[in-house]
Amino acid sequence: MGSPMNERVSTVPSPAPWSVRTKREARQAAIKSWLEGMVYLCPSLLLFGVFLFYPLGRTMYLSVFHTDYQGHPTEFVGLAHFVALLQDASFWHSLKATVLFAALTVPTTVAVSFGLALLAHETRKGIGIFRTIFASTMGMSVGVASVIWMFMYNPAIGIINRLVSAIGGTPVSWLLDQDTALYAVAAATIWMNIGLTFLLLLAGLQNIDPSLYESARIAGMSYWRQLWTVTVPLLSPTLFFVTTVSLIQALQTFGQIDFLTKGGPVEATNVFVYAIYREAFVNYQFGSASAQALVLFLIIAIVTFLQFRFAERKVHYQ
Amino acid sequence: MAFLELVEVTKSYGGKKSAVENVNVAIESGEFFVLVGPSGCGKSTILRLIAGLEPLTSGYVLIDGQVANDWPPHARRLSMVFQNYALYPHLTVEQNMRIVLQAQKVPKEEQVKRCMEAAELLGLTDVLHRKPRELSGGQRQRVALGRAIVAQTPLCLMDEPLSNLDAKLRAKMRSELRRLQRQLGMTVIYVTHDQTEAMTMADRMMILHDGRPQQIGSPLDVYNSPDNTFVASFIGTPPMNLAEAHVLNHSLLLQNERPIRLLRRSLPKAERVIVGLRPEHIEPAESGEESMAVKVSHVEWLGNETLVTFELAKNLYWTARWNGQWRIRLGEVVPLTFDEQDFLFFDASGKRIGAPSIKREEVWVHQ
Repeated sequence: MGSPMNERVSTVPSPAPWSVRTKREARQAAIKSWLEGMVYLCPSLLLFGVFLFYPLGRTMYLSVFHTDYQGHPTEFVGLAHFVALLQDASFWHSLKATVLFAALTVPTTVAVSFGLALLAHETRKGIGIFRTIFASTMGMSVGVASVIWMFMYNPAIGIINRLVSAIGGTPVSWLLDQDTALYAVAAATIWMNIGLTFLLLLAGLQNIDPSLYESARIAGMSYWRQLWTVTVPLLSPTLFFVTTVSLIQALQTFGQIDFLTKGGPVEATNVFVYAIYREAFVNYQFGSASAQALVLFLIIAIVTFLQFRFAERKVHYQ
Repeated sequence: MAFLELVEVTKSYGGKKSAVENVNVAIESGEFFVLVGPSGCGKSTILRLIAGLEPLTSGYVLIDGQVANDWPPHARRLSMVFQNYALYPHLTVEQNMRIVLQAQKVPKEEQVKRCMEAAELLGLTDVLHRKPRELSGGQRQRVALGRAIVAQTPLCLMDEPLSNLDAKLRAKMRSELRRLQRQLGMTVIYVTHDQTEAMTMADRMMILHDGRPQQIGSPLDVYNSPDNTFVASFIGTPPMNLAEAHVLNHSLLLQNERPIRLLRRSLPKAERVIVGLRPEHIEPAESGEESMAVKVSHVEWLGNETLVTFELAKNLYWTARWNGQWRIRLGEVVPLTFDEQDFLFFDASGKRIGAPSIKREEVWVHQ
């Protein structure tokens, strides 16, 4: 909410009659201004070109070729890789695992972070300590976090199985059992992602004008009513951003899979990006891997588009 | 029995000095009561203590004679208009007004009825379905008022509600707010830092400084007989002229330099005092009158009146306010005169000495 702006009187003088430009001069000026703009854009275009546009073009190119072990194209095959992919049971399995993984991690991450952010937003003594703890996983690399969870999941000495035994349960081989592996990795991922999501949501909460809550208290709204009528709508831009980013991240998960399960057992955790990685760098099928990468690119593009098209309607930008 | 009473109200945030100390006041039903003072004087804090948004450190808040210290805000049956209006940006004007009633479980037909009435009263009927960001500053301000009106609470707290408006609209809203308040019979406690707002709107006002109440009274009482030098210089534009003086026999020596003869006025017993004189009480002397010659250092022409600043003693500048347009050059020496009865005396600590010197009859005749 900004303060009202007074109308401003324009002080730009109207062009004098003798300054009328010819068409040619006008075109030259337009070209000059375009060139000037390009100079400013140059650094970004260069970076995008090298790290984004070129790899994307190269992937498209490779996706219609057979390749040798070094990734050089050998034989043009057209759409054969795509056709093979759609007929491949392991591709569909990997797609299913990815969707399940996203469904497990995204809503939980957002919900848990939101809850923590609400707690940390309260003014209480020593709340700063909790804020730091809640946000701390942000500063941890995937590698370190994975190692920690690997120890915790260890069937013999891990703390989780010890707890299970302590309450009288049977120990589980969390990462080695194909029924639990994906859930175990998802739990670790939620923990890793909470830090950043929590911090973003807390920042969003702190941006909400406190007088809105005071007004609500005077009107006699209960805590839950305030949550639904004030907090959620006003936090919706942040919630939307956090959900979109988490979803894209979930679809691109690689690190923790590589550390914890290597896609196993029996492909239970062979999510999309990990499957691409194996196809390219274990099986040396760069053509087929490129085709799969393009499919993932398309899926993420469609999902993001749908999110903006439908979910953003419920977002209230201030 | 007073409608709302504050007894020895004190609030401290743990620092050495309390934000608000020993506030005692009884506010009557239907009164327009103004809390006025410079920024950081604790006036908004008092409002928040009344609203129950913050707990008191000590003292009592009494509503209808009952101690309300521990009542939650909504149990105090009041509404509040915030400086930034506190409108929900994602709701329309109508929803913004009705949200208060929804929380209080008012039946739906009643909600719509009250909302329409308030919109009618405030000229918001055409914008009921717009969002706050599509409204002008003045309209937003009215929506905030509308929210207080639909709640139909006996008490309404207003925290600098006009300070985000431009000067012209603010002047217009002053009288409009006052008219609304009378029409609806609301009791209003109004916070402002603008002494003009306080003077023009208040039935009674409390002047605050550093969290301590300085004086409570009607605007004219406060203007005519300020209890101390702070009130004297805070209320009125330009402020009251003040100077330190030695008390001599039948005269004052201002700043060890400028003697002023006071023949018909009994002087205070103290040796040193602070004297005060309102700018409108200093007049141009006609020839033959006993006068005091001063050198003019600054002149402001406001059209209907002229503000003349002159150096009365070294580094002591006083201002006189004269009706009409006076063609005076800078550096010109002009003769001045004043009525001895208009002088106010304060002791060295700034507290007022002696009986009120105002001519009450004169004041009431004009009403």
